[in-house]
Amino acid sequence: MPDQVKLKIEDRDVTVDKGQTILDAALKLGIIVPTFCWDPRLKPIAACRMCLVEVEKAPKLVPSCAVPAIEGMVVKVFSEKAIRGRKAVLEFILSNHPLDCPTCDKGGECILQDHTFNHGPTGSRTIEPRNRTIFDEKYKFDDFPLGPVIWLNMNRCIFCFKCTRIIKEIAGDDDLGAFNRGYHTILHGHKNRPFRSEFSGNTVENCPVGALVANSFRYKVRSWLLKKTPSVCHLCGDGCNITLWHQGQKLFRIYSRWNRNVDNGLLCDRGRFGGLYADSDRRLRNPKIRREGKLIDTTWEEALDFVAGNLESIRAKFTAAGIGVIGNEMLSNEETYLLSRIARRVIGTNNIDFRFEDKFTPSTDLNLKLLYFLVKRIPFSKFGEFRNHLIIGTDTEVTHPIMTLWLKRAISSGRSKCYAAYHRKTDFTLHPVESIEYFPQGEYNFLLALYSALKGKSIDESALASGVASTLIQRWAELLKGSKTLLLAGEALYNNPRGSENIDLLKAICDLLGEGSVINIPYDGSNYLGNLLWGATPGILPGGSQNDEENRSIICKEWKCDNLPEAGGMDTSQMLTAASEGKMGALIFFGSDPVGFYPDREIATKAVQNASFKVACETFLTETGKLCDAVLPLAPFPECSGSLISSEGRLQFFEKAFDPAYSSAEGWRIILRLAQRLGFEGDYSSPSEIWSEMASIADKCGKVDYKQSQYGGQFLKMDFAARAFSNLDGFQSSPLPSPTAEFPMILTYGASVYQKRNLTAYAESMDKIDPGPKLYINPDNAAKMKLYEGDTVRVSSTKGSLTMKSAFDYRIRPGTVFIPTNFQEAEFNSLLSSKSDLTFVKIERL
Amino acid sequence: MTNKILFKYIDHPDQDKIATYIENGGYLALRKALKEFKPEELVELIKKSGLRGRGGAGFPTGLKWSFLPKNMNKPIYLIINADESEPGTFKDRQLMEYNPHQLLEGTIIAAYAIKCHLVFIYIRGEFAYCAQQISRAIQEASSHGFVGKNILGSGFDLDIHIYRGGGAYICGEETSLMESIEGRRALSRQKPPFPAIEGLWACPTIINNVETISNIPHIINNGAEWFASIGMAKSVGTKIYCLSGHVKRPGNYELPMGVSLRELIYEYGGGIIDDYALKAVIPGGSSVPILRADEIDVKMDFESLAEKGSMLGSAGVIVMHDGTCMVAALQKLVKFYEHESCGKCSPCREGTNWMNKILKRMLAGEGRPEDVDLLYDVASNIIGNTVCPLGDAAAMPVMSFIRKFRDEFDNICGGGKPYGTISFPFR
Ligand SMILES: Cc1cc2nc3c(=O)[nH]c(=O)nc-3n(C[C@H](O)[C@H](O)[C@H](O)COP(=O)(O)O)c2cc1C
Ligand code: SF4
Ligand code: SF4
Ligand code: FES
Repeated sequence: MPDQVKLKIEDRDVTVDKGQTILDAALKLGIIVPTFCWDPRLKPIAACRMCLVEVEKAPKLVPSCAVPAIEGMVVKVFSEKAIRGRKAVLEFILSNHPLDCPTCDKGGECILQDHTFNHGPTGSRTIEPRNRTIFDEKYKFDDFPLGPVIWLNMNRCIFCFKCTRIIKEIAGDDDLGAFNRGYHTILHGHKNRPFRSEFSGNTVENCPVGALVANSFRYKVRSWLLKKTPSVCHLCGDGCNITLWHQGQKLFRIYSRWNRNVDNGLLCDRGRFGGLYADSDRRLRNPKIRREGKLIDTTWEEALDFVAGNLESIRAKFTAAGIGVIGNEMLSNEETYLLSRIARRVIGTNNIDFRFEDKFTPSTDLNLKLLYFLVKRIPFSKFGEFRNHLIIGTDTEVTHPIMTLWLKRAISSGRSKCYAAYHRKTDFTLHPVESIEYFPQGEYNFLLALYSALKGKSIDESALASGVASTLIQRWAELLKGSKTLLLAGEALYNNPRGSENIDLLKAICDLLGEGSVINIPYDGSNYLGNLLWGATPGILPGGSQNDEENRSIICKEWKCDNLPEAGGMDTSQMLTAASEGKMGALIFFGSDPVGFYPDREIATKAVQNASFKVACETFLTETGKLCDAVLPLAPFPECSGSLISSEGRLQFFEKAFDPAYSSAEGWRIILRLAQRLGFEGDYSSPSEIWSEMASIADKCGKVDYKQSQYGGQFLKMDFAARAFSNLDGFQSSPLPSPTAEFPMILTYGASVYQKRNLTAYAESMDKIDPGPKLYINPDNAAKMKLYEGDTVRVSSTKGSLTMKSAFDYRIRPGTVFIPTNFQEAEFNSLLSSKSDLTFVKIERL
Repeated sequence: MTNKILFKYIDHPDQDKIATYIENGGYLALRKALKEFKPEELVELIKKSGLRGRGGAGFPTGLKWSFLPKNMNKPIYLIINADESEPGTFKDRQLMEYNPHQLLEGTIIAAYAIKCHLVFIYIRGEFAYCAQQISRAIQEASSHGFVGKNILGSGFDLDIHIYRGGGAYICGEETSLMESIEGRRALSRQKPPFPAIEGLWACPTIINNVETISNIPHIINNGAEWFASIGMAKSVGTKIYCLSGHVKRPGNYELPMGVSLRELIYEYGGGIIDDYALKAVIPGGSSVPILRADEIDVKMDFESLAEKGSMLGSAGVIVMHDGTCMVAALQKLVKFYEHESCGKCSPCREGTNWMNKILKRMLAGEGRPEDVDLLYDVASNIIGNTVCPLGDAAAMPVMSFIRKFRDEFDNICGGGKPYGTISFPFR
């Protein structure tokens, strides 16, 4: 074959693709060549020289990691010359290494130790002092913090440059670099700027020695004492495969479990360090019930009896329709299923939802439309096959950090181009990406303009209404036309007052683009999809089918009951509104915190206050929990087992690392015990028992095929029927309301890339990574207001006002301001109203 | 000293101005090349002339050019390596300061020969005046239509850029130089791929030394046979020898290849200063193995010096008299390489540092007898195991110094006093 070459390594024949290296060929034969600087994800640089091998007729030893295999090559890995060469290299690397293994956090899992053990010199010939750099007397062992989460000890560095290359080549950031030359080289971030790329933790995991150490792991434990449990990250929809390193009931660190199809061995800092929130000692320890106006600790028995008793009497008073359940998108499939089952079957209500951060959650009809797109969704690993990526209405770096790396990889391979439209610039758009910033909530007009441009119709009006120059949209239409495009539809498209029209437009745009164009919905949340498919919305039943007569009867058969509540049921917004008007009897919060995050604090607070009975099941005491009659401690993910469906549509199981700490309990157990007290007769002893019941339901519904199984999480086959998409002829541009003279700015809000709500801030060192609640404003606007960075400002809307520090961010569209949502003390949602689409604010300098 | 080629007009005032240069026969070669030759024929001509690179390795220039892939749809780049920083070498600087048009004419012809439309002249950071001269020369040449669009009506377009280095020796190494132009830290690249296949921005690239390129107009004017007839059989043409150190008349001497080293030192250089005796000579810039006083009856060309176990390198001849302490001299050299190593590969980064530490210890009187062998062993462990030849360049002098002056090292490590008073002829 012309594209293959045949060579001999250690007298064995091997054939590899042209362009593969000698090392690749050796690995194919199972011959291990020691390496330091080689990493299959990075371009080879041949720096460390550890992988030197002898090639017949070559005058020198060659670095096998970088030299391509050539037809007829004869390679000797273990010849005397090669062994001598590698030994020499190792001696050089060790000659300045501090050998502080007893106090080094990498000890026991250090590649330098391993290579020295296997190949190295047995003694040292250096008598000179080994210190390379001393930064400052105040740090132990010459280490110093590079940023909020990472420490560097330059003495231990062996200069494989993996860290700088990961940050540059994979993350595409420029936070970390090498400075100076030769023996005096040091690694550092920019002067006076901390190293805080959201992928910084990968440098720690991949550093072959103990030069880079995570703040949260430093001087804590010897790695060989830790147990490892496979798990899946719960902090976004990417579903990265992780390994939990723990001892007893303490979680020490989270490393990648390297799934080639999902994460390629990379994690974002939110998952790696933020996931340690589970280990916080500020967790809820005991069940609490309200006695004489105060939440007091009690036993599980008492708490569950208390909750069940109250729910029974509420049901008698208000009927089942007066009870509502609000879960959250991080619940596992098993938990969600069980929650849906107790709501519908045991309590007898369709009032169930898992979304509590959005004003405009999609209706059942829209949800079913979105599910239809899953039938043809594209796995991350195939992103590179698309000529163009059109990303609308999301900051993927925040919602899907690792998916963004796949996008970056597609861009840097030169095969793909990315187009991103959102109401502000994002970190991702700092990369070679074309970006458009439309008005907040300008999605509809923007899509209409793009659609019209593709159709060759006039776009002046719609472009104007979207706040984008029409030439820019025309240009995009020209560039996208006819090419195979992957459309990534962000949450701003469907969590939108015009969500349904937006999706119709998107579908129409997709049909106008080149052959093979596909729409993907990257849902925001580790099990958003699982929650949709397992019945955590009023209109969709467990198994993924619509809540109608026919489908209910299928479920009835499985659940061995005569009937289920008729269609209907309220979503979160409806439940909260009803409750705030005193129309709800009881609210059950399962990991949800509407008071803290629902975009109308007044309504959410009133709802909780006015419901006759409310119970919260959560890991940390939330703003909502503080108002509840009972609070049940929910164990976080390392202490539970179950399964998740990532936004890519991959079903992945995770295992519990240890039993729930303190008196907390796994979610499914809490739901089950409560259900049993309410008359549920079934019982399960583990999540896998729940799963087998679910699998049988899925089989009957025929929407999702859970049967085939493959390594690293199953990419689910889905079969949802096409829905009718509207005829677009009548679509008119619709100008958005403009800010008033009194409230001249538009308020936008969203999560920080480092945080998942306020959960991750409980993790060590993650509380310091974000600079506190701030009002972000475009420098141009600030200049007009004579506002300086760091000034204290008052932000007011018709609903209320907040005081905070201001910060400049040129990525924000002029005329808008931005508040991150993850600081509970900032109470961002007290400015928002569920009645108006957009929130206008005024800014005053104090 | 009659048949000077590159230095023929070096003392001529205003030779750096285009008018004088043209008066003295300048840019005739360019006209001839563009009119009478196809690019491929020029490559053949340079091949036939036997011209070899003057940057250090002596690689046949025409052969290098012919490695360029044919029928590629990528642009081809030419880089003129004017980063001259090898200790003891100072010829390119004089060529650029006094005769910049000669370099430019050669550059334009070379670019035409390899079908390149964009040239970078990478000038060492410290050479501010050179950069000024070249930049003025480019302006003059463009106003005469020698650079720019449609040169002399031939349809050949060419742009020349000056790129000024940041002052690192490693930037002279061709792959680091390209990294530097691409805007990164100058870390050498592993070869293959060779620059002619994948160089600057992954496009085919030719890198040549200033002196190499300055020869080209003369080859065009006088023919390949003429050039091949000068000098030795395989090392042809003239060479600019940079004579420095303890000689009476240091400086640049353009002489035919193969002049004897003794003649160079004693006739052209006027002998050793202060009537000391000669102790040792480094014949080709600091990176090559040293020769003892009894080895100087050698012809200064690539082959003859290789036979003696040394190299012509960049022909920077550094002369040391017998008041020199070889350990101190070596330490100065090694310190240079320790400082200039780019730090990419372990053997060079750590090895140069280690060798420097050992040598410093020796000079401080703390050497142990086994340190001499250790030093030799460290050096031999560097050789051949590095990314670029800088590592070898640091190790080769160490090994040759020890081999040829072992007694001095043994003496100092056995508790003896350093030999001599004067350490080394350069700082
Ligand atoms: C460490 C090192 C430094 C070098 N410095 C220079 C230099 O300053 N000038 C130069 O022309 N070549 C230098 N070279 C040689 C170049 O890599 C390259 O071989 C040369 O420019 C090719 O040109 P030539 O074929 O015309 O000789 C250096 C090589 C090494 C390994
Ligand atoms: S800090 Fe670690 S990863 Fe970075 S260059 Fe040094 S050894 Fe390599
Ligand atoms: S030999 Fe020295 S200069 Fe060359 S790549 Fe290695 S470290 Fe850099
Ligand atoms: S692994 Fe090949 S040189 Fe580092």
